[in-house]
Amino acid sequence: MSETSSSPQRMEDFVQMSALLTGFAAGTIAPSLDPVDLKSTLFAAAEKGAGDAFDRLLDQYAQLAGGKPVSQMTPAERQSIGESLLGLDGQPSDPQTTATARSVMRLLYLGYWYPIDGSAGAETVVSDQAYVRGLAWRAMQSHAMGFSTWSYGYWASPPPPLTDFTGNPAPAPPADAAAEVPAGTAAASLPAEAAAASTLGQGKGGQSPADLVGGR
Amino acid sequence: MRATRVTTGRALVSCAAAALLLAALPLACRTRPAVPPPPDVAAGGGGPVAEGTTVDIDCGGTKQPVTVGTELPRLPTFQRVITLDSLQCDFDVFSWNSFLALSHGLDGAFGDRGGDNVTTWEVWPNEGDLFRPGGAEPPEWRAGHPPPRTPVPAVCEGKGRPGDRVLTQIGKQPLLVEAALEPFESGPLIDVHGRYARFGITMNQPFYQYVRDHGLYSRAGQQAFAAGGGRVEFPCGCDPDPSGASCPPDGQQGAIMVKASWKVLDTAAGDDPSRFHTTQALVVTPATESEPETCERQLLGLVGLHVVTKTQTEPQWVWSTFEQVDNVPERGAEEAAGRYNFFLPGCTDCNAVNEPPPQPWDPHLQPVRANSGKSQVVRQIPIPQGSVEINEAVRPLLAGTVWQHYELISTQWPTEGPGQGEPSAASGWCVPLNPVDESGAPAPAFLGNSTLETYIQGTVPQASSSCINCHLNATLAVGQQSFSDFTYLLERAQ
Amino acid sequence: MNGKRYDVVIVGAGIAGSLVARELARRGKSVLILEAGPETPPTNRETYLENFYLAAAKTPESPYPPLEGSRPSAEPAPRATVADTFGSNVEPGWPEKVQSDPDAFIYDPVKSYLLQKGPHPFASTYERVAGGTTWHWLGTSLRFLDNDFKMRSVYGVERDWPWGVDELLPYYNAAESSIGVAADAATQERELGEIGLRYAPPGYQYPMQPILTSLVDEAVTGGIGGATGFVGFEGLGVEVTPTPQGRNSQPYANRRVCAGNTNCIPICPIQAKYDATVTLSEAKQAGAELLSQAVATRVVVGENGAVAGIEYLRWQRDGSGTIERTPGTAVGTLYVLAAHAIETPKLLLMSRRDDQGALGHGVANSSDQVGRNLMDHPLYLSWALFDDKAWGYRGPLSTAGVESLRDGAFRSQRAAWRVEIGNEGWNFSIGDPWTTVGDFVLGTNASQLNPDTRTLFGDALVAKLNDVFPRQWRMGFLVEQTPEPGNRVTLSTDLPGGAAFTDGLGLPRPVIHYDLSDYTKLGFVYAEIFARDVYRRMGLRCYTQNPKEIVGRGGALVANPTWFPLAPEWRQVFASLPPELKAPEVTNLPAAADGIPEGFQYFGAGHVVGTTVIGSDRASSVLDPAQRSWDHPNLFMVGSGNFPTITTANPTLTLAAMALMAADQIAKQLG
Repeated sequence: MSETSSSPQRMEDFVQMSALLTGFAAGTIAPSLDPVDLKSTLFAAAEKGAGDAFDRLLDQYAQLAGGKPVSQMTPAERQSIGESLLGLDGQPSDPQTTATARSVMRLLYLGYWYPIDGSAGAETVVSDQAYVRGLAWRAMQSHAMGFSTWSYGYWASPPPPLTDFTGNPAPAPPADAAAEVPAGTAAASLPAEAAAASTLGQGKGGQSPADLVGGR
Repeated sequence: MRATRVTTGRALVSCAAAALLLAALPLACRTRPAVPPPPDVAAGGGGPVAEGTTVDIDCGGTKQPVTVGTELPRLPTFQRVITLDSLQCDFDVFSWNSFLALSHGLDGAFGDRGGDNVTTWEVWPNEGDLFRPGGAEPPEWRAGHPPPRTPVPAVCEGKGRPGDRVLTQIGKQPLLVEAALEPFESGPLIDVHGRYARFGITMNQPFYQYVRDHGLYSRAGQQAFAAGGGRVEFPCGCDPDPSGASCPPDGQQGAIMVKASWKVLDTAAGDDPSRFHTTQALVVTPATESEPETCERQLLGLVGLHVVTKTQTEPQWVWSTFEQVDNVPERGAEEAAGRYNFFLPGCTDCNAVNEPPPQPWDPHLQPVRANSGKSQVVRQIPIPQGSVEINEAVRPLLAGTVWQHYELISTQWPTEGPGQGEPSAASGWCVPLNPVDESGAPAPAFLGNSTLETYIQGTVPQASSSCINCHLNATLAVGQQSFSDFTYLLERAQ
Repeated sequence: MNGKRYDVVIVGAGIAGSLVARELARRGKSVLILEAGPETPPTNRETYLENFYLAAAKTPESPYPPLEGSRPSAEPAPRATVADTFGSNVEPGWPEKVQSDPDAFIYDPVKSYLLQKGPHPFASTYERVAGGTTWHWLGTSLRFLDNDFKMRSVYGVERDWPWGVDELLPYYNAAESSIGVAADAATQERELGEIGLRYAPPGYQYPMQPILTSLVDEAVTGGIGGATGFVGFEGLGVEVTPTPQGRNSQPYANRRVCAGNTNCIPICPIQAKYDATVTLSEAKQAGAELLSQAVATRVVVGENGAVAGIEYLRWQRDGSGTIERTPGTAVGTLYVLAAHAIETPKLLLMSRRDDQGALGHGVANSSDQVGRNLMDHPLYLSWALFDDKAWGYRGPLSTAGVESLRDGAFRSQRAAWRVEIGNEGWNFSIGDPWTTVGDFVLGTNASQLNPDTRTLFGDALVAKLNDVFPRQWRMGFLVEQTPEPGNRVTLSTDLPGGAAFTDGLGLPRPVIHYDLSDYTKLGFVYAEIFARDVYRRMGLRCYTQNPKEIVGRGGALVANPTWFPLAPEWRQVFASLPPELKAPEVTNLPAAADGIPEGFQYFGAGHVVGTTVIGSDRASSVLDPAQRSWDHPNLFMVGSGNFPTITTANPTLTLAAMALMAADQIAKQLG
């Protein structure tokens, strides 16, 4: 599109911002030896989908990061930049760029582009490679449904450690401890909320199974 | 986009893009013959090509020699500057050096018989020699010449001729070719003269002996191996390590599989045998519902060749694939006047392009009825520019031999091959697979030979041809811990 | 075709039609198959797989033509899809409209091929392409049990089959060989012999060793394997049994071994799972001819009562997308309908001739049973979180199940079921990973996993997703549905506005009348209680939802068509449960509900059964025990439409066995 779109610096900003928002290493998102070149596909999809808002988001990220790679940032720096990009820091924010940041996260995680205006049912799969390389599957230490990277019987043994999938060291405890509920306690603490959710969310909950994956 | 900075901070230079910008990047991806193309006359050891002739390939700043010789490389030689393109170039050089060494005869012959010669890989045992009826133990192959071949099937008895070059050159038995369908029964490949292409696999001594030593030549042996917790790990090629810590002091040759595709040469129909490596082979056609098994002695021309080599740094193996240059046009570059092995320009009633012939397939009925079964094949993914340039640099070295009519399509290799762990004798001096992605993220992501993966030439993950991704699914014939280290051959055990 | 007379003309190139074609072609018979949909090159799945990767909604039908978004009124071979049943196709006030307006349906007829009159929708789907619905079957290959064939005589409910398991045993063996089933017969017999699982001869072995079970299976086995004392199953023990599966555990039939792509549905990327294109290819190699894009439009009956031909429309799309149609008639000695349990009765009903007396109800319909007794396994989904990671989303979609409760004295009162143990987390249940990723990125809570509606990013997001996804688990209860004459397929042309509801060839579309009986619904009650007990015993937290309303067209809340209320007389069943089976942790209900659910939601299992049932009495069945029309001596039908009852087992293996049985009969009749 614009000249900025093809600039190596712009791409580098995109990869670094993606690393910060997704929690995956930049080298996982854009390997140094990259026969698929997914980053270019994703960049183009975000640019096409969000236009100027994507440009502004990259500008904002470049300014906040000041050229520092995510891998060299402190957890507090990452937290601060992420909250700014997503409009979680209580400061005035541009709803278009914060929505774009969320769409970029889902783009990386799922390979889908979700329109930033939030229109339902308008999401599209960016490419076959974008789908099979979605980070959501790596976050669960598995592979995209329809794209096994292992051979017969792997499912009878536990997967390799999470750090192998993220390319990052094991995460430090979250800045806000509530962000990560230890396994088990979630179940114990949920009944009231879950009951409320099941009332409030009846529409969504009922529709999502069929609408997203369908019965069989 | 000419250059991209990525997270490692290393500069990546796109080879294809560099080709468009040669003035700006004089060293990138260019090839330069080190010696003038040899004259088209016999030289040296009786053949038309001087042994040891070399061309230096510039792989992104460092010269890599491609040599006409018998020395089989054990490992690719890597550059100081690592980029996707420099590595691809390194692997392509490895492919050519492997191809040239294996195309020599065991005795070093190269083009000395009218430009052709019996190759080393043809003398190696084939599937049937290793995986014998009833799971019988194959003979040892410790060193030197390959073991004798299994007897020909009864249907072929008396079909060979004493004067055949094949018979005089290949031990006791001629090459035997049986397979008439492409992998997973995706269909036969039928040439423009209506004849079925044929396929055969041979393997080198480290491969053969590994199977034999571990009892993997029979189903019973595989069952025992798997039940005992065995994991198939063919030996890896490695360079000598005097300390013996990472490789034996003498170095080690890795396992090699060679898969060849052949077409029947029909001189009356216009095939020119001087453009092919040829062999007289006994061609078996299995019984069908209506026809009994047959065996015919035929003149075959080599049209495609996979050379698959296991190396220490590539536990997913290195996948080199070559074709005869007349096979097929590239999509969009079909020449109206072109003569191809598997494409008929202007054909109005051939099969749809890159789709298999309609069933029933009947190899007993050859040539197939006019235009009722001929494959109409184009190359879906162009040969990468870097490989094209290496081919052009090497071709002059091979003038006067049939080998000048063969070209490298590409080499597939794992960009993220190894996982954690050191090589050891117990693992065949291999490093472990990448645990997260056992395919090791191959480059190029898709690669097929138009004569061997004819009908799956696209770019759809899992469904289109990617040597490594497909062979990651290979297993033993039996057993629950059954990954077979990227070879489907072990399925053949009885 | 071209005036050629075949020994056998078959309608439908799915598993049943392909098996019959192969068997007869191998015996030297001339065979023609008419297939409504397109043919696919053998084993070439590039196009279908790419469709799947690029589909936003990865429904079972997503890889196959016609693609999502096409209109049934404009398609030459449309079919039922899961997308048809999306809430966006449901109007507010639909229950009343469907009753009062003869041309109103549960789902928008512009989008939904099936015209659903209710009171509840038939929720299963099928494909009209060469290879048929096996393109997206799961591969589950269970045999029926002894008592499944004699429900009327043993339990006083449903129907008896005209023959028993013994007649089918040799054909089960042959079907398992044709499909390539992986299992260990000794294990199956040990765990299920007591409830009537049979093999013959002694020492029978499946073609392949069993598929390795998953870590999820291991966790469930550790929790409830060998357990007893489940409410309503007194005297029965729970076994977690490895599922016999039509996927390769070792190289078989020139196909690869399963690589655990976790995608059996919608499409196995590498054909490690059997599909009927395998058999179709074998049939063609043996000389059977396939005429694709040929939709059968009429079974022609001659003066003597024998079928004289099958009329069809061959269709093509020209460059502009316009459908060109060419009529033809296929003529043979014998005819076999294998178009699955909705298209076959549709064809028979379309073939009626009011001026031909006995054919006034349609061909083969002197019993008036054609199209009736439509069945499915209404599927009850229950989902929960493990405390520890059980590693779902890995391996084949399902590798084990609870089969040991499939038969018992309780079947005189209520439906039995089997439990399919899912290996795909909450993918089926709530559309994960999409839903949960969306929740933690957007700060929503559709998954119920983000009650504080937090937005996470970076390490915290990875940690959260890594915490929840590997702990997700679901069970699917395949509840047996009773054969009911009122659950039926009729034709759109019988509706007042019928002319408006045709397909792209101008042919009628199926109208579906469907409901669940109390016998079947009571099966849900005990499925729910069983799930609670499983969660209690294993210490899991339940997240199951049974929404009474869903988001309908235009964003309005509408009644959920696949939800039914708990009958008042069944409240006591829940009220009398011990407190630990009423706790919110195992019910996902508010404490005030006292463990009593309002109702249940069902899903389709994809098991389209009934409509051309076999029987020993021509007055109450469409086909005789040989699967031949009572009315027309040269007309056979094959497929799960022939089942008089659905039982608790997935139908494909049994329909394949019955197709092989029919092939023997057909060969005999041809002489």
